[in-house]
Amino acid sequence: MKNTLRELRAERGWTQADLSGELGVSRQTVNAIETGKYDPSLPLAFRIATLFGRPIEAIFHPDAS
Amino acid sequence: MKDHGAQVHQRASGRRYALEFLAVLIAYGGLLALAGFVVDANPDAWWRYAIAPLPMIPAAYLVFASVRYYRRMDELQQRIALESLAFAFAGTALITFTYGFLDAAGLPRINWWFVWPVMGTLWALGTWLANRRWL
Repeated sequence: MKNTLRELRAERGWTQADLSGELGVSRQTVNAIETGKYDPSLPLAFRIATLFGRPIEAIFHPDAS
Repeated sequence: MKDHGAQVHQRASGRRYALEFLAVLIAYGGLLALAGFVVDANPDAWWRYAIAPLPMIPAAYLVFASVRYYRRMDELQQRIALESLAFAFAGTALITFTYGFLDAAGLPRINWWFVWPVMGTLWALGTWLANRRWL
C-alpha cells in the first residue's frame, strides 16, 4: 500500500521520533510505514487516521496493479 | 508533540531486559561455581543430580523476561522477532536432526550444549534477514 504519512508529518513539522511518540511505536516502524515496506495493522492505521483527523482511505491507498 | 513517550518506553523496556539478563547472569555464575564445587566434592552422592542443574533456576526466569519483552514490542518489532525465531526454530530442527542421522551413521556424538549456540546463531542470522526485509 502507498500512503501520505510522510507528507502529513512534514505538514506538521514533526520528526519521525515525534510521530512515533504519538503513536506508541518505534521510530523504525514509522519509517517502515512511510517507505511502504510495512502496512500497519487496522488498529494502528486508525490511530494514525485519528491523529491526523482524516479518514483512513485519505491516508492509505492500495497499490495500482 | 515533543513527547517521545514510545521511544522512552521502548528504551526503558530494552534496558529493563538487559538488567534482568545481567542479574540472571550473575546468579547463574554464582550457582555454577557453587554447584561445580559441591558436585566435585561429592562425586558419588545420590543428590548430586539435584545440585548439578542449580544454575538453571535463575536462567528459567529468562523465559518470563523474554515473553514480557516480546509483549512490550510494537507490531512490526513483533513481526521481525517472530520471523527470526521461526527461522531459528526450523533451522535448529534441520541441523540437529541432520547431525542426529550422521551420528547414527558413525560420526562422533556431540554434547547437548551445542543446541542453543546453533539456535542462537540462527536467531541472529534470522534477525538480520528480517531487518533487511522490513526496515
